[in-house]
Amino acid sequence: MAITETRPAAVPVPLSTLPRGASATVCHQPQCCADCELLNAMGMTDRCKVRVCRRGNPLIVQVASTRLGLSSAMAAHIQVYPDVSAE
Amino acid sequence: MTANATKPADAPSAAEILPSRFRYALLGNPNTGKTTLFNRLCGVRSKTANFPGSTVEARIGVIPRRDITFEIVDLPGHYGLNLDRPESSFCKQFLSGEYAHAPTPDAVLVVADATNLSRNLLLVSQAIQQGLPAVVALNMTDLAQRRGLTIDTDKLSEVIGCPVVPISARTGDGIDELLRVMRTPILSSAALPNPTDVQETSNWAEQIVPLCVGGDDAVGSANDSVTDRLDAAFTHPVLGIVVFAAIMTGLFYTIFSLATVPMDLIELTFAHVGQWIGNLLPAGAINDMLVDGVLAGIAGTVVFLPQIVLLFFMLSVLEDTGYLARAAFVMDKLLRRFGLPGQAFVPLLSAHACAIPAIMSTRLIPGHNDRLATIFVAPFLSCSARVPVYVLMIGILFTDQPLVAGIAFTGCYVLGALAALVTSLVFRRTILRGPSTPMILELPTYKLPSIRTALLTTYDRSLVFLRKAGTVIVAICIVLWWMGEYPRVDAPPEVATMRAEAEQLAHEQPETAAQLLVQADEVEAQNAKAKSFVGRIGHIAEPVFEPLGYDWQLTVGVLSSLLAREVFVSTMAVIVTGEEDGEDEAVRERIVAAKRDDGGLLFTTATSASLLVYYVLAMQCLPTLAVTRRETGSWKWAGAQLVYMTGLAYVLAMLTFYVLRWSGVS
Repeated sequence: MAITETRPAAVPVPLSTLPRGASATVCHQPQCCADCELLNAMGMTDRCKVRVCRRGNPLIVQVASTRLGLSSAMAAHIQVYPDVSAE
Repeated sequence: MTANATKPADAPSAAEILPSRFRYALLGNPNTGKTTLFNRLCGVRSKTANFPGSTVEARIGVIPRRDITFEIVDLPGHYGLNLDRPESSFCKQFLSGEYAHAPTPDAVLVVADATNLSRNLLLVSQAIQQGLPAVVALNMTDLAQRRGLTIDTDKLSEVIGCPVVPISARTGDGIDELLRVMRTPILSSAALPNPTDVQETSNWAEQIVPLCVGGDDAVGSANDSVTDRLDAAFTHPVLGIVVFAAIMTGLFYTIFSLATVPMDLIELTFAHVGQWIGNLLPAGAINDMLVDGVLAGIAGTVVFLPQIVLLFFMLSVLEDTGYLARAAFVMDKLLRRFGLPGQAFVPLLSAHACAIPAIMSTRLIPGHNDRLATIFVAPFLSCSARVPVYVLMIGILFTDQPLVAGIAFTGCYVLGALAALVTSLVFRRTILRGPSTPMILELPTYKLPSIRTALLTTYDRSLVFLRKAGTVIVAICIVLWWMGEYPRVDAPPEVATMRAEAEQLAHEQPETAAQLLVQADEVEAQNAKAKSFVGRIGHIAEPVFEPLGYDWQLTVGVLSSLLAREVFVSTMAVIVTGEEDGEDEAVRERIVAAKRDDGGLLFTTATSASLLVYYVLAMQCLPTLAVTRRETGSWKWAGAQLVYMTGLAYVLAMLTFYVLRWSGVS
């Protein structure tokens, strides 16, 4: 199987805008939302990798081996750098 | 993976010689198998306790060893000790000794998920910096191995400064070693990150993980196609709700059908015991009180145990599979339309067992108005105490139609849920305005459920039910029995006439004579009941409930169950037959055939349906009101709950009665 190299995009976008299956890197977002501390404690920390498993409201993202269900309103506050092909 | 636990060299041991009783606080993230480990360690030697001055419920268990007894306090699962969350605050207070109602633990046992070490290290580092010796149980190592992860526990132990024991709570692997290491917990002196800085701790964990974890899936970010497919089905906006509805209907149908055999056996056993005691003791008030008061009261409660056991068992199994979190996820979208957050799903689901723990668990809902709305509507959800009334009424309405009865049973739950949702919608748009807090929910890994865990949870919950039932309900039954039996009155003159007539006919027409004797007994019992304290109260309050189709007997049933709903069935048994076991088939047949003073049937279809609606919606539980008062800090909300729920029940029960009567259904 061919392995595609990826790198983070230069411009951050809201997590809620990513398509299903997309991977991204979370930006440094101090106080990005009211439940920021809880999100951090659940593993969604600065520079962590996330993958969108399901779009919509709520959406499902995978952080390391944990799946989190997030409302799209909250996901809209989380800025991420989408992974793009390195080629 | 390292096979044995490791102890850092030169680390100070906190307990070289342990006291005979050593108390551990069990700590961990949600979904790390903490409860499974607790059950594995303590088995049935545990009990659920409410901590005074808090709304936290925790299980306390003991592990007796040859020379020492470990006491384990299973604290609520949480993601960090410094989060602004009630469970985090309680755990921090408990560990630091600031919680006044319980002694400070001697050590802390932290459970960490081996498949998600990076995140779990946040709580581990915070827990071992609380000034207590610690042991870390690295759980789910079997799953980690299957995923190709290798964890160097020697290295991990060296870095965090306390023993790390690889275990699988599900299979029992490593438990003996854990028990051995628990004798020597260690106060960490390692260089650890600032526990109040999540980002610093997270960075530290990111550095640790590559040192200790190896394998193809070391960062744990591989795609999981099976989970993806299951999630796609279970969280689908349409299919997800269809699956949810099918599972819930199946669950209640199973409860309704499977519980029949053990319920029959319990009835039979209590009938024999009652007969034996009745024959053993001389006839009189003591005999009556023991057989018709105490024993019948216990029987009337215990008979519902099979249904409650099945409910808790199946909910526990569902939770263990990882499905319930997906159900919450699916329900979030629906709940939000009615002004409730997705976090309200778990309290609302647990309200199906009992509204009291459900209201207490609303503390996990962060938004104030979200929480108030959830507290207010949770008692609408059909709790286990309503089951006896549903069984009786549905049994009358749909005799020998188990499928229709199952659908009607589900309908009761749906009606309660609808009332809760509509009420929430109205309240969130009027007196509880404001935005809902956004959803954040961990979706645990799908796995085969642990039957052992489900059995132990069921055992624990059933004991809680029996303790409550064995005290409050039996006491009410005895008081009601006394109020129904006294003051003693003489039989009316026609009874003597009927008996004399029966005596004359005894030889020529024995069947007619027997019928006359039965009629005489019934007339005497009804007269005694009507003139008893219970009968007098029922007659006074009868006009209030007349619009709902209830006579004085049903009024007594409703009033007597103000303290606890399930008392209704045994009360009706007492009033109608003089016996309290409303689930006994013969007694139930007599309840079904019971007559009003005017000779009409007591339980017509319209009356039974009206009663069913009333009991689905009415606030008939004083302990729930007390908990609402405690959780909201004011009697205002408890009073509003009582007036609103009972008022709504009254109006809808009256509507049901009149609509059915006008439709020609008598």
